[in-house]
Amino acid sequence: MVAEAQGADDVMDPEALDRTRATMHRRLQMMPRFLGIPMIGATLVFDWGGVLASGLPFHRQSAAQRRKQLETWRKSSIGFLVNFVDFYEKMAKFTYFYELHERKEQRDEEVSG
Amino acid sequence: MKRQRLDCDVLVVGSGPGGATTACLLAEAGHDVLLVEEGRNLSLDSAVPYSLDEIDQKYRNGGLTPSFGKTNVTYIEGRCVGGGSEINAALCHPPMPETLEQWKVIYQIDEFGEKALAPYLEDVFRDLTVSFLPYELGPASRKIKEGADAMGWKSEEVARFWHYPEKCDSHEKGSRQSMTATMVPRALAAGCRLRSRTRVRRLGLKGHRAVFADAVSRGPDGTRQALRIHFEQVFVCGGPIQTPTILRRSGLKGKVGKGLTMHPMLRMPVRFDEEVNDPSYGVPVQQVVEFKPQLTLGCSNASLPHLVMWLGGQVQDRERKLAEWRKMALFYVLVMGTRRGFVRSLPGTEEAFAYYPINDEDLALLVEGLYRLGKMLFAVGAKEIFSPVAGAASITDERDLGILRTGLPQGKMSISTIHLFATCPMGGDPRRAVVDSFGKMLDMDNIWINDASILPAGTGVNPQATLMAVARRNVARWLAARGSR
Repeated sequence: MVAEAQGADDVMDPEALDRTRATMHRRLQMMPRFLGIPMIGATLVFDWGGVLASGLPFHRQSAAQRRKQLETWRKSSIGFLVNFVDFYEKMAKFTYFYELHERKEQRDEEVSG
Repeated sequence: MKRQRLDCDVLVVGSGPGGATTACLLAEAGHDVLLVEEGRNLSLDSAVPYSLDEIDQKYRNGGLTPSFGKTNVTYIEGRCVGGGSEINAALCHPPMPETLEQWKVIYQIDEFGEKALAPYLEDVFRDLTVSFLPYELGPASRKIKEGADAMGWKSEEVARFWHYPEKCDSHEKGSRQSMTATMVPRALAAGCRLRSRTRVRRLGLKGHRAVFADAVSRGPDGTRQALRIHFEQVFVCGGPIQTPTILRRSGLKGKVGKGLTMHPMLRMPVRFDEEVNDPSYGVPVQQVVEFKPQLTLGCSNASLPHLVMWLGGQVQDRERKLAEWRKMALFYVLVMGTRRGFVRSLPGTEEAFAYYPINDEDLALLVEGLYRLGKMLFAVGAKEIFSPVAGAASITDERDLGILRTGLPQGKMSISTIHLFATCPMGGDPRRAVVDSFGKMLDMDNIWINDASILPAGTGVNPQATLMAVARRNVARWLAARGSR
């Protein structure tokens, strides 16, 4: 969702996005429990917090609405909210571009092999 | 779950640089050694270095473990046979002589210092074929060197734990000299037994002796097997986070886990007009050493996904920038932390909780380091510096660098570290020491600690060479007292 919010829908690679979602879900499960459980809670708050601003939870918002919600949290004076968005953005960016760029190179090498 | 019994003379917990060194030297001296490692036993080529697969396979918690404080610092631990040596930059920087002499005095460490440690450092350099590049510096390293020269600062090439074949003209033809490539095979050849995927939970104590270790082994299919390992002597080498966690869970508290310190680090991508990012040269090896040990300026590995992580802006903007990703490199500022935190085991879990209160002085030094780094890189043609502050605009004019100096908002910086120390410090100072001058746990008869948790403070340099030399020294003392078998 965060990855999608970072760009217009038509510039994102759907396969890479799918793999990003799966990887991020797995990474959250790899976190220590004392961190993972609060993160899942915070993620739910973030998702449904979107209802207050736009009437829709984050996962049902348009890309523009999502960018606006991310920006609001990013500029917050509350450190935790900033860290939350920063964490997801960094993880999403790294994972998406890894899937898009590095895996593609690996597959190309295997094909040319 | 039925518990399986294992027996050995010497149990070594953890197979990172301290544990692997310990197990190897003890096995080669004829002792019956069981080396136990929580992570998997993977070859160096099980995953592309610095890839997502490597992070999943070899990093604890997928590389995402924060220490808490006013500003969280994310720390990275290896969790695999070989530990951090399998995933770090493999930079070999000998300890600074003045640091060793200070430790000797401040922490009352017997038979210590530059001369005392020298022979053990030589052994480390030989065993891990510490090498400088057999070819020219890569473009990112050259930027550091030229920038430092332009500023009148001292910089140097840092050697690596790396093997380069003869007539080597590319990094890709060399190989990392991690523990799985060096000390672990030697240990196994000398008869050491290795048990991976096995986590030691606690030591069982009887008076002033540890008599067994309770552990859990996980099979590839996820099946679990409870173990009780009986031993005569134990070396705990799980690193500055896991070692105190195990000991505290065993009932050994007091000063154990206190004193945590680290080398906090900030990274920032920088763009040039020419290509500076060439993976065939490997990790950039040039560092500005003018301000060591308090402050180091250098350059990290920067694949495209790594760069993206640190760039702000939307995907479309990034796509434009990333079309020229080879013109960007990821530079860093690393400081010797001055504060002390602690590590605790969380009740009812297998997890560790780390607290490190990075303070205003450390942050000020990081910020000053960013400013100096920026000035240096503009002097050698940098076109755009991407601020490490989430959401901040990039800097394209040297005159705007001052914004870095006016103070960065603490909660908005991504600070990380791979260098952790001092949770079970060595020495003779009763207020601080957990182990004596040679790693033997105070008030216990048969527990030794031989990893970076016994280094009493940050080294100010990449610490692997220091910790391996100290580990060798401590094993040599242990063998001198007991002899070979």
